[in-house]
Amino acid sequence: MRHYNVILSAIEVFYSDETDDTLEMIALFRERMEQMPDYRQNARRELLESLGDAAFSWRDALWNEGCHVEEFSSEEEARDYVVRNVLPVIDAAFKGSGSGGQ
Amino acid sequence: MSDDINYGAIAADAFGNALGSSITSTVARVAPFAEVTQEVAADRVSSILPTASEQAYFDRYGDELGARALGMYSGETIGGGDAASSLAPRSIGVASGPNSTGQAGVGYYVPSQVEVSPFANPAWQTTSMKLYENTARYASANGLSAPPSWEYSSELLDYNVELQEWLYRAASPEIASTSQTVFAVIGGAILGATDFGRESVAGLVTFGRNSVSAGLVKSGLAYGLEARQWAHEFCDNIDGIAAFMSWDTPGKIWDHYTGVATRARADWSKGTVEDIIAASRGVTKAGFEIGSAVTGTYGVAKVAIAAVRATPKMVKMLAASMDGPAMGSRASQVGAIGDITGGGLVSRGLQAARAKDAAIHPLAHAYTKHGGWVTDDLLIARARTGVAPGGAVAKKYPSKATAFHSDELLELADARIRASGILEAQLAAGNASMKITKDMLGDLGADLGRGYVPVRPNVAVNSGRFEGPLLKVDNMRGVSGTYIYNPSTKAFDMITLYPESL
Repeated sequence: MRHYNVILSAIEVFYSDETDDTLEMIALFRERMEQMPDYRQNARRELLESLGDAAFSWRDALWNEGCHVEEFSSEEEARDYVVRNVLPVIDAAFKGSGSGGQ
Repeated sequence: MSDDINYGAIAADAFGNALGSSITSTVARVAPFAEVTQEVAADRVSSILPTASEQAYFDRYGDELGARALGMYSGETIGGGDAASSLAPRSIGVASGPNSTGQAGVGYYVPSQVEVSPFANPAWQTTSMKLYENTARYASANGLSAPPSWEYSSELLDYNVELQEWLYRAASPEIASTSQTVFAVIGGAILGATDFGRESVAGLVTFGRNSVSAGLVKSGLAYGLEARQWAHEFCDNIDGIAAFMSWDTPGKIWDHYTGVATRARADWSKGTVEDIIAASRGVTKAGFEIGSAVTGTYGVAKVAIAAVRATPKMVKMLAASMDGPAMGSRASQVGAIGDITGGGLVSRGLQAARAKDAAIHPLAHAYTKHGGWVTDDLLIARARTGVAPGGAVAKKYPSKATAFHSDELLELADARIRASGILEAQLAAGNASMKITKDMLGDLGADLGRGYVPVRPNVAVNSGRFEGPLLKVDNMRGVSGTYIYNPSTKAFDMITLYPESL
């Protein structure tokens, strides 16, 4: 299984440009994380690890032949997108589930 | 008159937009009223429920039930204020005696005839005004006499039929040929509306409660956020809904409209202009019945509003269940009876109709964008413009536009994924949103689909840098897709699937 598979799959499923209603999908992402502790913990762990992984390219991950989320001109912009748009949803899921930062 | 007049656009705009926007604006206009009446809605529900002895009486005289309910509607001020007075009908003719319209459905009672006028039904008031505005505009533009006042809905509908016939006659052979289906569909829609107007509202109250319980709750026509909103509204009056559902046989109403769709589909498949008119006529009439009936039941305000919101979807789903000969005809069908910008909804309806029993998420777009209904023209349009089948507009050009040759092949690919154990393995690894890539299953042993790949993919829509031919890729034998695990149902809900070249 590929590295960071959980968080990459989540973004490919819930943030895809193919999706007609992205807000609904993101709400579903949060809902599913609230329902499934392992899922939300893996998502956050992988996201944080990837952000500290200099060898990993979020720019390539967010726009490639098999994944259309956003196309960025720099890695910094891509990471900023993830931090601003994905991490808060994961944090909200932890709060919503009552598990805080666990 | 110029030969390059877009007759389809005229007809769709003059009629379809009128109807579609009228439903929408009716919702917007009635909604505040619903708020006013929210507090009394519960009392209203209980007060109109029959006693045991009344029930026996109503079971015997269905039209008397309608008359009683309508009497409450017209004779009392619900909630007070301007909203109520502005919506109160000035005249409602309720026939006495036995059921005067016969059995319109499959064995359910139909209340007495109620005269349809812009004053008798809030839905018709807005509809008539919109219809008049558009009709007058096009009549003026084409040098025709002005249509009758919007207050006389039956005359206005007659006028629209004449206008439609005039447009038909005025079309050149070339235009008539290319626009034939469009004309037939729009014409059928107008005739359907006329049928509705002439036959009056059938089953106003009965239909309202049944369309909510049978149409929405049982048939799953609601999707996503709206579904939750409706569900919330249902819960506001859950006791009333439960009572309603046991009050009659709601399934019969839905069965009736399933029958309408089936007959329309059969008519449509015959392919002649007359049959397409008949198909469109039947479906449009059904849409009017639903829309007017549920709007007329706003004595149970929240429930009725929920049903009104559902009406365009229900109509579109009926329309989507018909296999039109071309995209244009499908779009025109929708334009005739609803908001044409809701093309995605049509496809969702199509998706739901074809896969309602499968594990597929309501927000999925597998059938919408990659299903068997997608033509090569749609794929080319998507690759060229970024506008996907169903009408969704992407932020960027796609790197490819692909579709299965048929829904059966899509379902074959889905079955192969589910049988592979990949989804369960990912779940066991703590993942709930699964991306399936073409490498995971490899060659599925069949020509699944085809696609168009831009020579220079991934270029921003507005950059102006996109150019060059499209490369058609045939014999796609692999598949990619996404799934979401649902812990409530313990099912893997499909989000999308698309064929891939290996």
